[in-house]
Amino acid sequence: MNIYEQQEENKKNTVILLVIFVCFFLFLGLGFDFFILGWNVNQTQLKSTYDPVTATYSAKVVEQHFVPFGTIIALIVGCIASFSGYRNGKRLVLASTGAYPANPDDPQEKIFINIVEEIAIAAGLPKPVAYIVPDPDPNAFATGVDQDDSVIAVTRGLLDVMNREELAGVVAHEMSHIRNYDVRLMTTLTALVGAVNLISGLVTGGGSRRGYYRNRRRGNIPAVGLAGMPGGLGSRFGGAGSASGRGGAAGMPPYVMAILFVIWIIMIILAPMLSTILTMSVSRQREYLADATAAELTRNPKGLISALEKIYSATGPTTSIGKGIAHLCIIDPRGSYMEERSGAASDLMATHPPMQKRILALKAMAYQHPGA
Amino acid sequence: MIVSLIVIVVIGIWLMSMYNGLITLRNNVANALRQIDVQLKRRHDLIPNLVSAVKGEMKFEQETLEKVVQARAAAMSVKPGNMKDLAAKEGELTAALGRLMMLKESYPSLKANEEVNKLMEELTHTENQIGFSRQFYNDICTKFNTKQQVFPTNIFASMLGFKPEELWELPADSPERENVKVDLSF
Repeated sequence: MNIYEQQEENKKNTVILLVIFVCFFLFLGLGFDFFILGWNVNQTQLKSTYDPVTATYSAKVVEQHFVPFGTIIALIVGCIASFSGYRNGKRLVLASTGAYPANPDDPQEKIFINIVEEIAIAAGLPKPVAYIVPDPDPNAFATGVDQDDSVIAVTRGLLDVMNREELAGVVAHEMSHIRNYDVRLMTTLTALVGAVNLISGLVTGGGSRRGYYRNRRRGNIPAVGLAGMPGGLGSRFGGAGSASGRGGAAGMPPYVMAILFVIWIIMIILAPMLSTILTMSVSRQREYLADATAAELTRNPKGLISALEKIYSATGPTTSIGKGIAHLCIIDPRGSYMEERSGAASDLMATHPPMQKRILALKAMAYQHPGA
Repeated sequence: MIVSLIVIVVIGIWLMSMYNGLITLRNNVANALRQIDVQLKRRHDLIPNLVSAVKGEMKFEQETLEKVVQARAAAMSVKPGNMKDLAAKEGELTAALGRLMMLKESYPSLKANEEVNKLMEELTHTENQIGFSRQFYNDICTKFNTKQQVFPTNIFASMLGFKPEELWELPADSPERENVKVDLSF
């Protein structure tokens, strides 16, 4: 797959993601109306069979007229959430990590700002804003939905261990994610899936600049949220639904109702998980492409090789960066090395390909260009 | 009749998209060249500050400093549009600056000087930007030239007034091409 196909694919997938998100809310609302408020599809037919001549009957008909509040509200919420997720994804991601704009008066951060400028020139892109995550573990990520409004963030620990060449390799890797529109898809996904958790994190006061230690504690909240949010909603709806479900949907055998209800719940629980798993597996392919593009931009695969080796050998997890944005980072911030294991579970859940394979692919490139 | 009409329309559409593609690339090439100019200008502005910052400490390197100043003056006097000449003169300046940066390493007092370090980082940054903008220019230039030369575009490109652009190359005798001599005996 070349870069133009990759760009188109990412733009298309972002739109699909937004549509699916709204559809999911629609599905949620429809089910809510159907099972909990007792909206019966037959009621409209029922109304037409009544004779409107008799005054008493017509009063009853008005009573029967049903407004699908759940569907309407869910649709509005879904549209607003997906729009704001698309627009504010960058800010949410940055706030959740406690990142701050790099300070040009600090010599190390000045070098980082300079390197971002240099690589932007090499890639022919507008200059992204440089951010620093106050964390001692080396890691980096990029975010933003548009090429002229994107951010490259690195941890303070990365600046401490990298030399100029290695840092340039890392920045070039992130720059290629921006160029391929990977960050648009990933940022939107993060905002949509993690919106509820990130917002709740902000409300409890985690996302401030001082929030380093609070973030540390909050580290895996987005992960809980991925499965927890729909599960929680589902069980809440389930409790109410079983109580009023029989009364609500008249004219349908109870077992059909029960089966439909179970399918509804399962869909609600599984849909976000399935989409996450799908994105995770797709995101691994992107890493190889970003590595290759980084080597092409810097004409120096060795810089990135040495950078990846250094990042890899720092085994600690990046505590400021939650699991919810793992797929944005240059290496999985969980430090669990899910990607190093083989088997079905890691095939599904790992966000990155095995580091050894990435380094090997880059070494092959460096070998082809011994002069580099 | 209808068939020939369709063929003419298809060829017309193809010609249009080819022409527009070439125009876009040509503008990109011009823009990339201007980017190099911006960076070169930056370097010219930086040098006087750098020289005056290190002048006091590097009394014994007057010759090196003199060379940097002369190369800067020569590069700035190149007439705009003369790319070969500009590339040669800027190449000499790059070589002179590289020599200065190497010498700086042997002056511990300079290495400890915060102001000099700042300027040196600024210089490294500018040198890298010049390198990357040159690389970007050459990439996009190659793309433009290749597009003109492949079949069947090559039949029409020169008719429509498109010419291959010159890559930013160092002249064969440029000092920038010289191998860096590394002395490990100390």
